[in-house]
Amino acid sequence: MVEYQELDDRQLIRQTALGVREALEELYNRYSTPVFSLARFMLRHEALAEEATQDIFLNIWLKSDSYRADRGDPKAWIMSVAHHKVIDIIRSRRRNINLTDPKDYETLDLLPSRGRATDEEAVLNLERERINKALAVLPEAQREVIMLAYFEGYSQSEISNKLNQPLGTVKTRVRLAMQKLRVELEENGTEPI
Amino acid sequence: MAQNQSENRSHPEGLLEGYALDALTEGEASLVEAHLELCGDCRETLAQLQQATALLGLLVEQQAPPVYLGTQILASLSLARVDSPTTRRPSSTGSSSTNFRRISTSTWALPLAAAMVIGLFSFSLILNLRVSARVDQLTRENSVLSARMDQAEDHDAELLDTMHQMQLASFMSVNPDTQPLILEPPNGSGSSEGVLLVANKGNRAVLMVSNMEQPPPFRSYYVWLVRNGNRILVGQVPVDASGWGSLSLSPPEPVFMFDWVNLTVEDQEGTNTSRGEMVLRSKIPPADFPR
Repeated sequence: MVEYQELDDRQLIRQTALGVREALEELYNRYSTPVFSLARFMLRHEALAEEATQDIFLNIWLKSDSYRADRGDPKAWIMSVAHHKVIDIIRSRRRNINLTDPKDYETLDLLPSRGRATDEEAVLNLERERINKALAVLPEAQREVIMLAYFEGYSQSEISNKLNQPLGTVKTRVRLAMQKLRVELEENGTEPI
Repeated sequence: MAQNQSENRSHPEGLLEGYALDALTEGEASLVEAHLELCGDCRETLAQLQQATALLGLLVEQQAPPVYLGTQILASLSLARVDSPTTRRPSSTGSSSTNFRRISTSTWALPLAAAMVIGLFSFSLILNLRVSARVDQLTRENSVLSARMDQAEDHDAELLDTMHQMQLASFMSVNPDTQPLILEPPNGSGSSEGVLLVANKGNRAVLMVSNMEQPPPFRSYYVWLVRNGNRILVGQVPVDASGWGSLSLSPPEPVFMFDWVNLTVEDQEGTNTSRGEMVLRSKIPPADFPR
């Protein structure tokens, strides 16, 4: 009898790719909260976030055989699948969604988490502290493009129009910001997320 | 060395960062994905960038999804018949696993059923994918079945099982990778018809049949995959009083490895060597057949 709670994320993804429902169930138990929370924040709509979360885990179920270890650790992959799906929804419904008010970004700093065990919460807070420190290093203009791209789903071209800045400038800001984030996160801790 | 130089020349300079943020146009994203297939260095760089973007996602306020969502998602995966609620083992232990715990009372079944049906239609709209006229017809039949579920409190478990299969079928029907195979009577007569939705490179499939006659006493409808004249039993299709039936298939090999999918009516003790009356059949195209 396999105890799926004892498998690591990579093993669970492999089992999911083989069609083992219990493996996906365990992945859901581990990651439904960050996935749903991201969808809820970006979509600003509880029901849409639930549908997105359902789609995301169905995508994981159907696409787990495409996961490759050299493309990052499982948590990053799952969050990437989640973000990609939410972006798809935002872009297809751009005109119907009240997008995030930039003021909301101010509340991103170490928001309390609900319904999680103390150990989990402590780990999460450490991770948030790492990314907040890294974001704090960025110039405001670079932080702005990251937020517009990641949380509002704007493409670089759309950001260029929105900020009335040349596309090349936006691309440069995105590139520099991501490179700095990557370096800062590596320096602040090399533990896999 | 020469290969590395060649790869370096083709690196999508400045695009990996935008790709990690999902901030590229479709064309740019396709360019990056094609390059990633060939370049280990860029895959490694992207993995590091995605570590960073994954952390961004954790900045938002954390809130667990509603408890029923886990059950709903798990139900949508049903490739085999769902265990009866009374015999289903607990999914796991520990506080984090309660999301999937099945609450086995009839009080939740009908509201959940209604919510799931509504969710299916919303899901299809959001995906905005092409749904064929055949699937539209089947969806209408699904709606009829769903309405019947509301009236059948004493059969909620059986109906919920049917709805799980409908949900899977609806999901597969809007998946662009799904291929429908139409099953028709071998002699072209009769009103019975069916469709086999095949996904995941032939490893998953759902069969739906309609306008079926009730099988004679002690006989049932069986699904077979046939290759080189040899047939393999892959399931039994229950048909309700309206002539509707559905079955999730987990074929032993990809469906596209076989020549035919047949539906026969057989004695309930039917085996791989028995030969019942052919009711519906469809020729299976090869895996590389254009879809």
